[in-house]
Amino acid sequence: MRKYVVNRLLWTIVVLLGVAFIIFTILYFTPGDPTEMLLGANATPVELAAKRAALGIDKPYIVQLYNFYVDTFIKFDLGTSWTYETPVIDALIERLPRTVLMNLASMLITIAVGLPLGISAARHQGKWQDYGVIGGSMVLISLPSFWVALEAIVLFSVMLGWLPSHGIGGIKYYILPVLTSALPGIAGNARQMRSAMLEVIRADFVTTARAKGQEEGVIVRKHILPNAMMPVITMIGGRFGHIVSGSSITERIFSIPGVGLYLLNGISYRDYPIIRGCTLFFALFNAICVLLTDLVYAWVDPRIKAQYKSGRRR
Amino acid sequence: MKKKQIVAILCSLSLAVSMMACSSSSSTESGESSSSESTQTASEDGDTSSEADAGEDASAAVAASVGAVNIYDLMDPANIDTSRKSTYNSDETLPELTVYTKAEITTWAPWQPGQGRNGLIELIYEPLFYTQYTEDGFNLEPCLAKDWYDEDETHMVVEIYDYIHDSDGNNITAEDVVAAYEILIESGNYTDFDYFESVEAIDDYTVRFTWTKEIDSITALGSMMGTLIYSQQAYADHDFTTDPVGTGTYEPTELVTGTKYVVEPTDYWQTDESVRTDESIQNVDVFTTEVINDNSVAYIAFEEGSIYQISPSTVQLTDFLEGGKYYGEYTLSYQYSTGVYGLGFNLSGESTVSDDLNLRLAIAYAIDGEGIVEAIGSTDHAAVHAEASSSIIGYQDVWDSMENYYSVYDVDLAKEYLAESNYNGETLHIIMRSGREANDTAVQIIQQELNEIGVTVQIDAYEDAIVNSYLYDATCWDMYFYIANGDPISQLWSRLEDLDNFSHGYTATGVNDPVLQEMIDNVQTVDGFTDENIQEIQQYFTDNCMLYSIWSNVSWNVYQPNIARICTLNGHDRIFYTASDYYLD
Repeated sequence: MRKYVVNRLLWTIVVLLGVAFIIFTILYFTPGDPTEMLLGANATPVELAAKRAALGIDKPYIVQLYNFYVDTFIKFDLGTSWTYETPVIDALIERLPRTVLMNLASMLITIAVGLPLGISAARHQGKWQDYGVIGGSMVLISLPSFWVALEAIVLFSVMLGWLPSHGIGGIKYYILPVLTSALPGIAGNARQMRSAMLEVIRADFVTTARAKGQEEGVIVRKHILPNAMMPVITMIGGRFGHIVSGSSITERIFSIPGVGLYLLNGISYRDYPIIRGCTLFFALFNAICVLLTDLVYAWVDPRIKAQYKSGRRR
Repeated sequence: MKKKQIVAILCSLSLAVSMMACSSSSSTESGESSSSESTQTASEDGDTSSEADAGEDASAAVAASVGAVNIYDLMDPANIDTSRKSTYNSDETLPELTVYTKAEITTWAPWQPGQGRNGLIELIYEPLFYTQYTEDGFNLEPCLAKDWYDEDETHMVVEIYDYIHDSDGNNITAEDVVAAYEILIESGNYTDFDYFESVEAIDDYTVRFTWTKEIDSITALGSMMGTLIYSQQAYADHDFTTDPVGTGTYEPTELVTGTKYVVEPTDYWQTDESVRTDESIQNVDVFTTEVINDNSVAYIAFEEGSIYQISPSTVQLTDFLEGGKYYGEYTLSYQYSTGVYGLGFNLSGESTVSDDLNLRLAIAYAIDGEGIVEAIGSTDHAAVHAEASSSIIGYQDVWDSMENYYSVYDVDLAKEYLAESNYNGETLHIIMRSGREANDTAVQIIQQELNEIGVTVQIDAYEDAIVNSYLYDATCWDMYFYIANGDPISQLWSRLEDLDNFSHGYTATGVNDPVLQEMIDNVQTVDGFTDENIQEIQQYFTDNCMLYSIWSNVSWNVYQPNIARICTLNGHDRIFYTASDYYLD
């Protein structure tokens, strides 16, 4: 098991090196000049050239790539933003708690509400509970999140005056963003859980358990859920990786200066250090999340655990 | 079967709700359409002989009907109602004021290009001079500078007040001025500095600038003198990108990146009221700028009363106009922008239109500028009659009454020019920046109108960051739908047609013309900025059908009702809310 984890961590380094190469190369060869965005329409060719030299982007591709690798992987420096003029890592550290708080809370709600809804729908297949969940999920998935957010602001901020419409401060500032971003997730989790449960619910071993007279609650908890959870874990694991990358739409509507908005601004300003730094950070976090997801598989499914222990692949 | 029907009904409901949501979100489009429809009807019923003025008339008529004031009237202290108690006629100040900004302030560092500099930075730091363009010409308005003179053609001596201090209490000396310029140069964040060679301290409070050549450019002098000054001690003690310290009228008390910025008045160094600039008045005790990225949320915040002003979208504006739910409740101002939107022809020699004046004239006369303005909304767009908006400094009133392709839409004439041209059915390419609804609509109308006279057009839209890559390749396009900004008119034209601003051999509209270049160079000089020279260039543009500006924007602002007068930076767009006047009763 330990060998497997170490092996995966080594692969993570290879992945990061590859991501760094790809993002650097794409940005380098993308048409357009970042200094035009930085200096504006007034800048003369000489002034643009001076700015390019000051930023070090007048050098050949291979030199810039080498410098980028040295800074990132040897000096562990993600660079300094050209527009904010602050280190990218500092900005990530400052903004990350807001994004993580919002997305983690949203994700926990999607799990806490979505999974029971899905289980309930599957257990009552063809009954009103099932139709309620299916119908409700479709509505929630279909509603554009920015529209839901604006309607929520109108209702809770303007009409009721309960919650602030924008900005950051105490926990109450996060309630609307969390709720509005959780709604599609609740629907997605409920639908995924329902279909996963339905695949297992009529399996032979479940029928056997029922024939042996086990209580329905025990059957669900001990036999159905562990087997139905695999695809759900895959989905949740995938979403977990997005906790740090944030939801730029939600952050934009509620004016939450999080990581998503930071990256969006970086793209708008063609601020390469922000784009490269954020992408690498997201890649690292996602790789770790995928690893953790795989480890959770082993915890949930004894067959996979046995596979790791024997050190064999099937 | 019944279950399937129920599921189908639920699906339909879901889809319907979703579509309703989408139609709500795209209300800007539908709103603009309805607005333009009603305006069009009015225009059709009206007198067509005054077509040339229809764009501005429409905006002004709407403004008059709702009691909106031209922003210049709102800037004039003479229009304050002196019978009411205000910050203007009393010693009292406004306790707090909150405005909003759509884009967060990325850095508080003073070493930024002047263009696009956030107004809050100007509250915290100050330059030696502000630049002032008025109808009387170009002036330097001293701020930190006490006295100045030209030593010779390439040297200028500036003396600063000896009692300037920043909010940390550091005295500002000549060495600080020199250091501020050196740091700016090192950062590479300067524009219009090609005249600048060096600056040196010649005593404690006097510096000498050395120019590379005699300064004859209005914008260059303004840009160089607008450099923000700060003390070296404060620079050493603080990280200016997040913790600014300057000599300005306000100092930050709370800066939360991307969220809100709070500033409060400083113990301002300039105590001599007779030389204080208008912008340095401190009429607000606590001034907060909130970052609200979304226009709809800003509107909601304005409705709640938590922000003082909004620039409404076209649809939101209707709420404040006659018949709207907030009609008469707030103070409205409108302002004709100095920027223009239009079509430039590729004159590089690489295009079908390059050497064919008849084809260019055919295209120009086939485009209905007034119709385009009506289609995109005449409330917030106004037709222009020359290569500039009527609000720009240097605009000539005589242009309003001239008959040319700016004011005449004549399909028959267009067809005559086309028949005389060398056009053989080639597809002409219009290159443009993507993502702006009004521009997209306008160019689609142009495409349709040109099709009607037999000219085939393809629209190539690219995002901002890459459009220049295609623009700089003259083989890629025949016409360029441009957005040009600048004030005075010499600056606007310089950004369009000054070869010095372009490194690839021709200007933004594909021009490399020594005759025009000489005229452009001349009009940018202090002595060359004359009505005669300005008219000569406009005539040259028209005679050669080089450009066709179609409209300028009309900006609307809505303020809470107690605004008495707004203070702008030397008559420009940037509003100094802290120096504005407010009714207190």
